[in-house]
Amino acid sequence: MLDVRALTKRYRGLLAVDNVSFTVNRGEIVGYLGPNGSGKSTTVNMVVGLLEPSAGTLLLNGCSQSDDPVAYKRRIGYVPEEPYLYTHLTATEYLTLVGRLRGIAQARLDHAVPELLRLFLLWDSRYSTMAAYSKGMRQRVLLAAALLHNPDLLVLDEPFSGLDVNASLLFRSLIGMFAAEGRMILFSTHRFDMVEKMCSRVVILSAGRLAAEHRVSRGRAGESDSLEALFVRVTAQEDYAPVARRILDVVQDA
Amino acid sequence: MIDEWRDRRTGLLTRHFFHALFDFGVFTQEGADAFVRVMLGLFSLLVCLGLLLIRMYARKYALLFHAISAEPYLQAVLADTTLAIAFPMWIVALVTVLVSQSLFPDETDFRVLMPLPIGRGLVFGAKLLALALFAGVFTVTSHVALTPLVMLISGGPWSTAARPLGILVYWIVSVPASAFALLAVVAMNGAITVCLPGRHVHAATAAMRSAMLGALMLALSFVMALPTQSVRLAQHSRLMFLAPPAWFMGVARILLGYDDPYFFALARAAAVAFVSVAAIALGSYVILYRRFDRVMLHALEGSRRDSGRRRHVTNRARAAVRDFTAATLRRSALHQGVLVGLSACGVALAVNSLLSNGVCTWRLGDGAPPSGILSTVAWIPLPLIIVLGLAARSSLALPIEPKANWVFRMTERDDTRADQLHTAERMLTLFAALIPVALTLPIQWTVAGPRALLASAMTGVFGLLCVETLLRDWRRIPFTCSYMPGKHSVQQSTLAAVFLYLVPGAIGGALEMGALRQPSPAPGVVIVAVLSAVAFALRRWRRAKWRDFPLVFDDELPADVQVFRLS
Repeated sequence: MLDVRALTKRYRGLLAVDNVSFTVNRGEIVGYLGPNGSGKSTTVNMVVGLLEPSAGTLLLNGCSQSDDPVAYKRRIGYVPEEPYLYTHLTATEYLTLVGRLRGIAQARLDHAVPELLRLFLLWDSRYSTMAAYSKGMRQRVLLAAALLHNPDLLVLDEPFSGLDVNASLLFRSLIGMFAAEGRMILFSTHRFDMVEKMCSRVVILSAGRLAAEHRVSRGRAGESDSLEALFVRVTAQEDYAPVARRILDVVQDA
Repeated sequence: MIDEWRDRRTGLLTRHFFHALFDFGVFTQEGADAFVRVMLGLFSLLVCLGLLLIRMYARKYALLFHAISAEPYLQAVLADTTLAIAFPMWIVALVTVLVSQSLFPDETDFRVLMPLPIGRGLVFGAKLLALALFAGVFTVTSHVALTPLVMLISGGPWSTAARPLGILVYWIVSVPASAFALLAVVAMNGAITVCLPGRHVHAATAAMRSAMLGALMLALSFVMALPTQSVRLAQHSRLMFLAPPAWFMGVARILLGYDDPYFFALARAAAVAFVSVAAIALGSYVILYRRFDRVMLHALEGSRRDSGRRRHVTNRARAAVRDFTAATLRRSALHQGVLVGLSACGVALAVNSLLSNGVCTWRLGDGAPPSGILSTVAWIPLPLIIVLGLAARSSLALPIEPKANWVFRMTERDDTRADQLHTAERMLTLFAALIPVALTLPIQWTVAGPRALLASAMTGVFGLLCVETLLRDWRRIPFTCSYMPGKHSVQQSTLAAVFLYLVPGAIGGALEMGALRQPSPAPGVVIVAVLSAVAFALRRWRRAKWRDFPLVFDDELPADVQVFRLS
């Protein structure tokens, strides 16, 4: 289980994340929603160990991030929001690099890397450096790299951006099966449709604070608000119709 | 109205391309602005250098003007005119090589500009105009800097032409000579881009850029040695046909009215070479204009070798960083250029010392070498060690895709950190110790015989000590940290450079001189043993530190560089 307790992050006096707590249980896909600037990416960066929390604790299957950061990070697979990759490397070189840094045996890499490239439909581009890849292809490389070491927790930050329909369907099936095997997924996104289709629970963040925790299945069954309505309500989003009208007026006047 | 609009777009695009020529991809906008300020400072330095040359040459020409015959003056003026033509050529070639990634419109230009309602002709035209402006700035500055020197040498009692005519002819000949240098670089890049399959273009142009940078650095020694070639020029040596500036000097002599078949032959060589490179450069622009997509959307091919696979990997962390470093140096023109360019500076320094001290003209069998030659071959390993070591360190310190370093941050472990840093140690050892030994041992052996072995052992140990100095604060995976030029103040950097260059240079040179001279090797062996023990102890201390301290990573490029506070 991922246990996030009273997580806080301050940047020179600015409170980016304020006392956020939630859990991700085994076999669960938890959606993580929030408007831009709500502290979503900061939380994700703390969960994967790229940012040091100012306060609070992070426990993954009982292993504390602050006590043993190496053991903690070893169990996590991460797909960042932007496809930050060494684009001068080929996909094979990148996956080999990540695998070796994760301490995976060379024999296992020799088997897994080509297989993953084939399955993620990257085999034909294996000799091209990733500079020539589309965003969707880079996203697929990142997911392959995140799964390479068979992690307990998969943290996905907008993993569907740039993916075509087929790749999105593959990702969805893959993530579903991964969770069904008893692993955990924290799924940070702006897409309600994906959250409603994939997640069992959703955590909503607003202005750095936990605004709501919501069981998606209840929403789907019509027992409570729709996710979108709940999000608009708890994050105090304004009515966008007048804003949209004003934008059109401006471009038509120009 | 439409013409005015087009002109405005051309101006806008030209300005954009001109600014992009100063962007090497490792600076932020503020850093790039600071870099431009540093470049402006360099222009002023260039003009000052021209004035300094006047002081150096004034005495020489005062003697020549008062000589009893015109012969010495006429000989000297040939060589010095060649230098005055060569120097701007070298500068223009160097800056063109440095910006060679922007000689043709690239993929970014294609993706950003093509969706806009502008034609391909406008993009190419603006690119060419920006390149011409860029080269023009350096051409004019270097010619302005050297005009006082030309003014000095083209006057006097033995001069056959009026001084204003001499200066006019210099500008008429030397500016096209600089254009030739620019066109030669464009032609070589264009030929590669046009002739090679698209997937190899990127790697080939990167390798070509590094090779040209290295060649230019080595050529600087020969440019500086041109004033010593007056006799060769006066004796109409065929060797001078190997030096492009001499071709243009031939043109200048023809324009000044000299009717000499040697100058005609040199001028013919200049004309043929100029027309050839201009035709290739123009041809490649035309072909690329017609097949725009070829250069814009070429597939970026990586290695077809299975890098790392099927190879026995004993240490995974070492292998990961080693292969990452090798791939980066193979494919990144910037990193390769810094490594090769700076290394070539060190080799050029050594070659310059050998040339100016007559080591090349001294032959084996002429008896015992003079002490000047012995001290030169004893001294040259030191600049090689220092400059090659700095070259390796600088290339490893430059970032590539800084935001992608998260993969190293997520996998950092105390037990593998030293292994991950091992690649930096290995590369610095190669450049600061092994290459200097390999380059200087044959020369020292030729001059001093078997005693060179002891001197070479000293070179190796000095190299290892240099590695320890350069890695003292090193806690970074290659290419993963931001880079800030001018981090230290000018005074601090100058003092460090002087200290690094003079003190270890003087001490090391003296010790190697002793090893090459002493009949008994015993003192040298003791020195090597003591210094080896020191290097070994420093290495152990550093490796222990690597295990204890976390790696350094910077996500963002620096917001601004620390500018040289000259005012």
